Amino acid sequence: MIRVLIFGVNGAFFAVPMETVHQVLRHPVVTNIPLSPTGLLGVVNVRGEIVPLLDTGVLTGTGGISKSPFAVLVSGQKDMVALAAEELPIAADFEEPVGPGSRPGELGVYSSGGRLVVLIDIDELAKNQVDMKWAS
Amino acid sequence: MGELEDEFRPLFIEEARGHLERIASGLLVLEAAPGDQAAIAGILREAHTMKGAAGMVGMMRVSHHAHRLEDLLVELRAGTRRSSPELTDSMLSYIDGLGRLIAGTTAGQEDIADDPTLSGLLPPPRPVLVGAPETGTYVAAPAEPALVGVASSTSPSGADPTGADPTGASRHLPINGEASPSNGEAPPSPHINGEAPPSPQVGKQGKQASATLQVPVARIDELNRLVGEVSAAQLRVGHIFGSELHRDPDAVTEYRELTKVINQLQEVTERTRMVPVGTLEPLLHRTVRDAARAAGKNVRWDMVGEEIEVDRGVLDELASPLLHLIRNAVGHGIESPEVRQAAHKPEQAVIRIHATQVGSKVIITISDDGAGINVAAVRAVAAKAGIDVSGLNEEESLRLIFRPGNSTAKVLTENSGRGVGLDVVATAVAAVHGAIEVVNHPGAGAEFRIVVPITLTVVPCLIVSIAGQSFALPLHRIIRMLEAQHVQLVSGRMLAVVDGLAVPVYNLASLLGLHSTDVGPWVLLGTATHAYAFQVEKVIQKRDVVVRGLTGRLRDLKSVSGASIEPNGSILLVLDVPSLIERSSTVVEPANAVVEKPAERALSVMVVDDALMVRELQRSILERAGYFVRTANDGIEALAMLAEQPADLVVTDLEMPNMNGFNLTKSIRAHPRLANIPVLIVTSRASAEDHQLGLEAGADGYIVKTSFDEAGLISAVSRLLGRTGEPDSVQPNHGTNVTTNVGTHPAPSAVAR
Repeated sequence: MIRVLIFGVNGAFFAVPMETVHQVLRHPVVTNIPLSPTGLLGVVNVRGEIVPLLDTGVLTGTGGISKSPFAVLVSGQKDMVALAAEELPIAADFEEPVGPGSRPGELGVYSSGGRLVVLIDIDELAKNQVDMKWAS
Repeated sequence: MGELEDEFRPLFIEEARGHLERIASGLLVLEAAPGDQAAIAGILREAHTMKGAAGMVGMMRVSHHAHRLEDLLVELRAGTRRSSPELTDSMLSYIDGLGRLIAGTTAGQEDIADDPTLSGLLPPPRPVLVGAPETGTYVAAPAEPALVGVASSTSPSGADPTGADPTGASRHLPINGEASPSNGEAPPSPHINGEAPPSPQVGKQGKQASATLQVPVARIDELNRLVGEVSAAQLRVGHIFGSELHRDPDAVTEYRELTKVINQLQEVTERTRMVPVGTLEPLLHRTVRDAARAAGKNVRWDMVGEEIEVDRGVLDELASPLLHLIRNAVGHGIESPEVRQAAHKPEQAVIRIHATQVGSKVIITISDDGAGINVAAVRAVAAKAGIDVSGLNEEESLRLIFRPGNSTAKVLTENSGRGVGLDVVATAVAAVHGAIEVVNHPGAGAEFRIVVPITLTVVPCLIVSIAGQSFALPLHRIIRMLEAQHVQLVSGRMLAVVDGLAVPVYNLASLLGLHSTDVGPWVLLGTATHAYAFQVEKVIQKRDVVVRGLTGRLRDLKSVSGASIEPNGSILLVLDVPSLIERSSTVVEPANAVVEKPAERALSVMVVDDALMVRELQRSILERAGYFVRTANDGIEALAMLAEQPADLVVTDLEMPNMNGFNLTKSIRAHPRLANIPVLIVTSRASAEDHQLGLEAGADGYIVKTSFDEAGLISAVSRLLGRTGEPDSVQPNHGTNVTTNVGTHPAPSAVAR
């Protein structure tokens, strides 16, 4: 069993392991970074730390989002990142996956409350989806 | 009186910490130079002041202990007792105990119990001249019979456990109402009747102490926060001016004045958070001394650059890794005197801490001249732990010591005697956005370099507004500001004549991909030879910004070099000007880009150094100066890269794996296409012989890293480039007046401006 936090983006649902979650930010104040890659919505100030806010729409391949009423603060391997969420994230417990992930960084598909949720590895996804150099 | 005592006691406790610290520092100075009258006088004054102040707040026990310390110091001053490592041991332990006694004291509890162990630490005053080694270093000498008086008294039974002065008659010091000590070199200190007044002077720290005031950190933080709030409130008022009164606040003189004052206030309060690196000196020095004594090693302590300032928060975080590294160096790096002798090394080892500021980074180097790190052992242990070490080169293998995993640390200690828990150090350094690297000289020592990045260093910036968002431009990149000028389209570029020269003009908003219709002033950026005008929407102000380096995945962002958390919690981005300039040269109409590009081609520099940190530092310095920089790990790699694409200048280290700097220089000189490239050696090897060897190999310049600074590097590089000129492949610039002559080794720095 794995405890996760589920968040919605573009009508799809994704989950991150709860042990990596620090907190959920409500209405984060986002500072836009000019020329940043599309997967990066901007940066947010989390208790004095400057944390990147990743566009989960781009990360998950569901299409870029423009608003982020919530942000899930998680630890990556090296740093903390905020993940944009369109709805209030909810906690859940996952048992066995009902299917495999379809891309690197997708750890598996789980069924939770009648929804299919993809468990993601944020570092792996970000590595493949966000190139931090110039915007294309 | 009781209430007054209670009120002032916390202040005394705070102050006593400083007294004790300075006494401890003084004792170390004294140990290195026994008989140093100025040092004795300094310590004496501290003890005397503390005695008086403790008495005033009713901490009689502390006062009494300070008095005992004074007695001993008076004997030292009179020459009836000599400083020795053992005596220093005792006195330092006494100081530590006194510190604990004070720290553990809360109102009303102070005199409940005496600490017999503390009382027993000091030898009883005795007017007998005791012999002691003349050395000022931490020699682990066996207890000398001549020192028996000291040695025996260090046991708790050596003195009256009640703490009463057993030989009060031998006092050299006045107690109440008597004159302050004024013989020897101690200047007479003024006093009021009763105990001595708090005199904030001591030895070498005398001047500093008298000009400083100890303030609780919480108060400073509160001050910073309040100033931030004032600033935010002022911005809101400015907003109301616009929305309610329909007036531009900046058109109101009083408002402008207020802005100016608040900005100054902010600047000053931000600086209150900065402390010199030397603040850690007493702690580090003491640790080296005690560790050396305990391990029976002879170590000299050296610290350079104490005055370099960093944010207090950073320094606090660095204390623990620094302690770890110096303990490691003493415990495992430095050999015993016998081993050193056998290896024909000076019996006395050196541990040196060197702090320097390079650009907006502070580098703290901890080096020793011990045995160095046994890389083979490090590899062996890592391999045992299941790591594939087969493909790792020397440098990569060495970096294994920073690998997390405590289980290997223990084995490492036994096998190689080095590398204990260094992952903890690396983690702690990373926590303050710093980086650490190690340079190993097998048999000759090891050097750890900690770089605290731009993070909490203050950078003067120009704050500009573009499309409603504020950005900071580092001031050292700004030549000046000017009103918008007449612009002409020339060969597909917007050009304007500034100071008689044509400079390209760019709209910062469109360069940043932002939409802005407002036309504001220009900011002239760049280098002396390559200036660019950026049109901004509005210049807000000029002020210092406490810039943090971006970390993690944000580090790779090219358009911003850092960010600052503003007092109101918003994030201010610091634009990376070199990148913008680089980008500006590519944002031209494609049809003309081919023709125009060579005109804007930056001079290229190849930086060769096996240390990533040095490479990156030099890269950032040179890039900021407008050079195009490539880097290589060692001579072999550099040669291969140069053969593919020559550079205008090579900056190289000397000591590198595979091919060192001498051989790289020789190879460049021997290469038909590369022979004319100037070579600048930047090394830590300062000897005249190395210098000579470097020049003989064909180097054009030689910089010793210890004297290395940003301006020094840039001036050396521009000097060398000025002497040679651009390679033949560079096309003449026909588009602007910012040009160089072609053909006969023109000097970019000599461009008419």
